[in-house]
Amino acid sequence: MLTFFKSAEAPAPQPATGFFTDTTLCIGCKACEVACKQWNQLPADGFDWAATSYDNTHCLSGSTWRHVAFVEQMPAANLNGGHSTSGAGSPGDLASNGSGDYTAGAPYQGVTHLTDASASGAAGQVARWLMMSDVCKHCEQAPCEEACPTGAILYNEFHNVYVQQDICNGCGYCVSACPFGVLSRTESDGRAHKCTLCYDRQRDGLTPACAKACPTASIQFGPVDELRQRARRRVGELQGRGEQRAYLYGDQAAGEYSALNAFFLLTERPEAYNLPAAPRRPRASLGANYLFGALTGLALLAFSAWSAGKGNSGNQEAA
Amino acid sequence: MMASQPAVSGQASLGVSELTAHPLRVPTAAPPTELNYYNIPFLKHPTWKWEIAWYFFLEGVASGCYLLGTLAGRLGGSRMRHLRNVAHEMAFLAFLPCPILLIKDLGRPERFYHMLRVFKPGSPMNLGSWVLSGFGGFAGITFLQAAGEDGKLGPLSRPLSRLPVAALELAGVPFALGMTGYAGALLAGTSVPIWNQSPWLSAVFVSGAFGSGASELKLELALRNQHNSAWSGLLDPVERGSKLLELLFLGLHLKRSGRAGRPLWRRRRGLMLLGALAATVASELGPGRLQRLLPAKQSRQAPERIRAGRIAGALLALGAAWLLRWTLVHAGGDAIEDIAASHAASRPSHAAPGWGGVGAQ
Repeated sequence: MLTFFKSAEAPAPQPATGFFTDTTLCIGCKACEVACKQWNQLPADGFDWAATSYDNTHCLSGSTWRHVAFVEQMPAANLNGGHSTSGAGSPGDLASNGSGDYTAGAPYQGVTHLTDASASGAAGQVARWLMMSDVCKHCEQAPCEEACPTGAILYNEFHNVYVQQDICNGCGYCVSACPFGVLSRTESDGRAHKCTLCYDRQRDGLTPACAKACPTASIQFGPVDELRQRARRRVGELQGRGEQRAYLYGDQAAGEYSALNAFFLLTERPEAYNLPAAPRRPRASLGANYLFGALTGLALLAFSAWSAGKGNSGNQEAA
Repeated sequence: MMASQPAVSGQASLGVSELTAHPLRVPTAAPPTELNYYNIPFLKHPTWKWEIAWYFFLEGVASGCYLLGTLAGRLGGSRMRHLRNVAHEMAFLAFLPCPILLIKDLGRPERFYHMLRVFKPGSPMNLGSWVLSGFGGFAGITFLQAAGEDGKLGPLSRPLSRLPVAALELAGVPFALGMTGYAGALLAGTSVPIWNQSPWLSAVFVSGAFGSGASELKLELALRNQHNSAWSGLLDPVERGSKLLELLFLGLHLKRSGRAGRPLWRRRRGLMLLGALAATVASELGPGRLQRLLPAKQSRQAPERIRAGRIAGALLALGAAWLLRWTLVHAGGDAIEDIAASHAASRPSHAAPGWGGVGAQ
């Protein structure tokens, strides 16, 4: 028992590594998904396509550690054929704060409102097919790591967020903690799984499988500092060419939320790629909850003590 | 078997659904908009189910009983001694199922003790594991002494009643207080919209625990057909005050959560909250009114009917507490499926401006 709990000697820290995923280069080939599944021996996801897109994996999960999103932005005219807007349902009141919806007849304005006035009009009518290879963000301060009650989730020597499978007891707290919905608990083995950033390959000096397989360098792997510099240069380059919408998602800390060691170059609002616009750090509300909880507890304790003492000293009669 | 030919749904015919445990049902045919990716939630469904709802209820009862029992024993004098013993008996009995429920909830129950391989108070669940373990010890030994003093433990009663628990009983108070509140912090420390938006959730659980403890004691005393105005002088105001605070904090939580909290009060979850509210109000009608609502039996004597009213009141109050916890836990799944609520919970704010990009510029 004691030897079981004895901690091994930690490997010497290495420079932090991560991914820079440049979505403007992604061609949606899913080589990253396949390479990831092959290397990590993950099961297939079946063929239930998301609407009319080529997306059959839908989202990241315990068995899908790379997920290629297919965001199809078509002018409304192309969609009049059969799509019903009634199914979209829930986003209604959010969608109304600016962007286009797919009402029949009206040209789709979803792209134009994001750009400067000169780009609207003709440019707004152009169909866009945005593809993005999503992955665990390997947050610099990861909510899953902070939540994990067993210490199964830790930072390895490359400062990647790693789930130790021999420690995880499947409590599910990381699943609810992750603001990106990356982790899930796999039914077959009851443990939480996610991208390991190919820890095993990195230890042998190899590039992670997805980055190795990517044919367009949409997925770039390397030391995070270097990646960030490269990414900022790339944004400048794209904007210089007229792609004003290019920006980096997660290259630096945003308020209470830390930087992401796997960050993205996007050309559309985060929600389009199913990313939160501004993730909150789950731990942020803990302090206030503990404080108000403790104050309430002490107040009720004092009130109970007063009530108990009053019953003792006051006039007493048995019923 | 008919399954030799691939069906339309590839996942079923491939037989991989079990392996992949895909968190999604078949997506709707809605095209993606800027704020919605094929109606696929971007958060994951919480894994917690009925075990955790029951656990939150029982740990509240246990810690509430323990605190009230300790106070009654310390400050209530000899007339409160019996109440103190009953409270410690109830505290431990309510505690007993808690570890079982928590272990059953794990994906790998045989590894439950991994919770205690580290001390990591920054993680509410780890902190809670230590608090629960400590509380179990204090509640257990106090139970033995109290039940012994009550003569409930047969031949062991007398030696056990002499256990020197005075200091231990007090030492358990911080653990019991921790038990009342950490569940709310546990939920708040997630990314689930209905839980993480306000500072009030822990206070909801704390006040609920005091109320549940008082209700449980009223129920047990009524069942034992024991009544004493000194006990009521403690239990009635504490129960009423706690329930008022609980409703107040719940209201503050809902108000603060705004759009993100909507899954908690819409549709059947809203009905459940209303049910909890109605049961709380009904429990406050008092035994006199309640017994008139119960089926009339001519043979019943007046004290018997008052007792029935007391039992009904306590059961209503406990039911309300249970229903509120059930709703809070189970609405977590509704919340992540409400994609607009999820986005509302991660809207750019001063504290978390996000990387909104083009839309935010």
